[in-house]
Amino acid sequence: MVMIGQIVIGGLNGIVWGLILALITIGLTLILSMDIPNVAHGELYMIGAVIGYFAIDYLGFFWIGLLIAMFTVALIGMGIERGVLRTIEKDPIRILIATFGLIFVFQHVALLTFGGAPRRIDPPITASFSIFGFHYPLYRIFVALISVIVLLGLYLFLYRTKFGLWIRASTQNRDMAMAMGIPVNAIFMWTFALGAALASVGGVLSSPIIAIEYSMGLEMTVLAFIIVIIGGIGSLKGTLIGAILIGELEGISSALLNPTIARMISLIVLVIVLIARPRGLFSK
Amino acid sequence: MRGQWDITRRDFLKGVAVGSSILVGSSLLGCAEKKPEETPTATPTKEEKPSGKPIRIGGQFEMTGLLATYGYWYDKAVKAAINKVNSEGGIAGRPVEYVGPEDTQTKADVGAEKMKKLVLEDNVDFVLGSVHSGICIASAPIAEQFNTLYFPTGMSHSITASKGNRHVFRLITEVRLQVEAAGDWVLENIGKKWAIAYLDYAWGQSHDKWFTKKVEEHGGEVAAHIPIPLDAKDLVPYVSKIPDNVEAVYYATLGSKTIGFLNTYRDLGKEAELFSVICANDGIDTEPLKDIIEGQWMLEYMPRRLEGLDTPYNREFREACGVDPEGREIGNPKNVIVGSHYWAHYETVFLLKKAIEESGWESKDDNMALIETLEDMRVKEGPGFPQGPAYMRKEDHQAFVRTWMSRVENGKLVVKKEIPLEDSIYPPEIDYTKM
Repeated sequence: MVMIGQIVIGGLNGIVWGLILALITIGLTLILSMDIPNVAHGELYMIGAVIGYFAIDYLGFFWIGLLIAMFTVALIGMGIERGVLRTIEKDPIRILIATFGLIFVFQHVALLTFGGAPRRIDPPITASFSIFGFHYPLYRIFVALISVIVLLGLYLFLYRTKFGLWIRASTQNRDMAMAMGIPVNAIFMWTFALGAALASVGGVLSSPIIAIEYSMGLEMTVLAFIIVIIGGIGSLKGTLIGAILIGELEGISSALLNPTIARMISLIVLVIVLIARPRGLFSK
Repeated sequence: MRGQWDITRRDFLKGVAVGSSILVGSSLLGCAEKKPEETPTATPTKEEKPSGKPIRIGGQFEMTGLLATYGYWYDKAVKAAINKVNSEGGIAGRPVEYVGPEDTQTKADVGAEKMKKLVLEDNVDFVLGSVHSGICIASAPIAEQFNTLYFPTGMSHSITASKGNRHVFRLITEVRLQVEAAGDWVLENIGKKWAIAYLDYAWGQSHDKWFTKKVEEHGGEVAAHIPIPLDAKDLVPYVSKIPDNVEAVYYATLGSKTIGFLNTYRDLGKEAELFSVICANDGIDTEPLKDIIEGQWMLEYMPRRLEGLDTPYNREFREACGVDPEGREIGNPKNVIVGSHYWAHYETVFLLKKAIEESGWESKDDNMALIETLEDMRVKEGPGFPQGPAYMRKEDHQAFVRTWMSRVENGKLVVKKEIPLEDSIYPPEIDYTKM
């Protein structure tokens, strides 16, 4: 009974955690679809969490803090696109180096302002429910639902609106889009801002689950890139499935096996996926 | 129309760029805590000013990376100690110079390079070392090779066993000592049926190994050993493995993993008592964590709050480091001390003063006499030694000090019992004097 409970909790949590990871990663998918290898994506997630922490600490309202973090990081994203990436947009190597440099800038700004010790944001929902003898926090389910809503909204935005059409056109063939009169530069700036804002939402929403610290971004960048590569670069569906796959592999295998072996198994499965589909599960 | 759009857009983009810079700046700086104040420089109070060739003490600390909080406080403590020593006539009449801090970035390879830099380029006489066990282990052979005394603060047991040497002295506690100090008390007072959750690397594995032995000695049971991968983010898969029928959980996590562990532990409705060594929570503000940390037991190596050790020596030490009675930085109350760690480097400066003056040390050529003086050295609680009495064991160069069993009440660490240093002594595993 205990074992069944652990598997059920592991499975449920795998989906929930996968959805949270998808929320953090989806912004990277958008940015990568513009051929911008933004290795500082995790830092936007971290800066979002840090700004959210200060705003919530100062104002006392979780959701207002979330909005402040989202808009501030969107503005930071605009600044990065306009001030850093626009000037080197045709050179992926320089973009890689520039965004790598941004990691250090963001980390040290956070170290100076936030300090080196980890901190936590209180969850706005503290209730939990019982399943197979295990308690499970309602907040996680709520975050997973937000993630589903955001992903659905993003899908509708990209595939059912004119701006979404412009984004898809600009990322698929920039020159052709420009020739058609689409304001490609503006589209890229707004898309980068959207990607940054989504990272910050992920940062604030996951802060009551995992602690905030100034160095948390780099690990998340690695995880986000793994998810994007597994799912297929530029694919929203791939990002969602890739994130849930990683969440499930960790969740269920860790419930049954020694965590080290579980980690090995999940990495082996991911390698097999990449051998079978080198461009990811849903590559275009 | 097109031209107008271009101008408007440019203006708009300029506005956004400027606006976002201002917003970023104001949101970060405006919300930022006050910049930490520098440790006040004490002016010499004695007539005799130190003179002659300075004694150079290097600092190999984590100023950035995961353990940056430690480096910040180590740096303050060393500056405070050296200011005090110099204001009181120096060491054997010579001034003391602080070289550093050299930032290890919390990376073993960088830490070892910084050790070499301090010894070979900066020509320091002594090195006060990292809290990162991997860096300490990598630095120990360098200390021996270049005849430089090294004082690490990493807590892996092996630093003063198989990985140490005669040039390495550890004034701070270590894993086995901590288990010896706390083990009997927690097994007699908290419970006999345990689960152990630990970070899956040398430090965490040591806690699992030594505490399991202690539980077996007491006829207890460890119902679950739960390693947590270092890069785990979501801890539900691991915390859900803690059986509901255990009386207590011993957890050995660090930094953000501690908060993640405690969050998840309460989220999953676990109710067994919690115990950890303070390393899991040092530098972490426990008051905002009240709902998830309340009631848990912790072994402190020096009380975070003045109330737990209210002596004139501790008051002087805390004042010199700019620490308030609650263990927060004066002028920056969100910054909490690594109270169970930073005292060690403060005291090491005074330990060196005592040993140098007793041995007649003048340069590295006299290091063997200094080593022999430090071996078996005992110090009493007093000025320069606020933590209390200490005994540096001759064989393995591990110091034994008193510790405190504390409990979190209303979010604050409250000392419940002082554990004398004698209770933490275990037989040495190695004898460097015979090697």
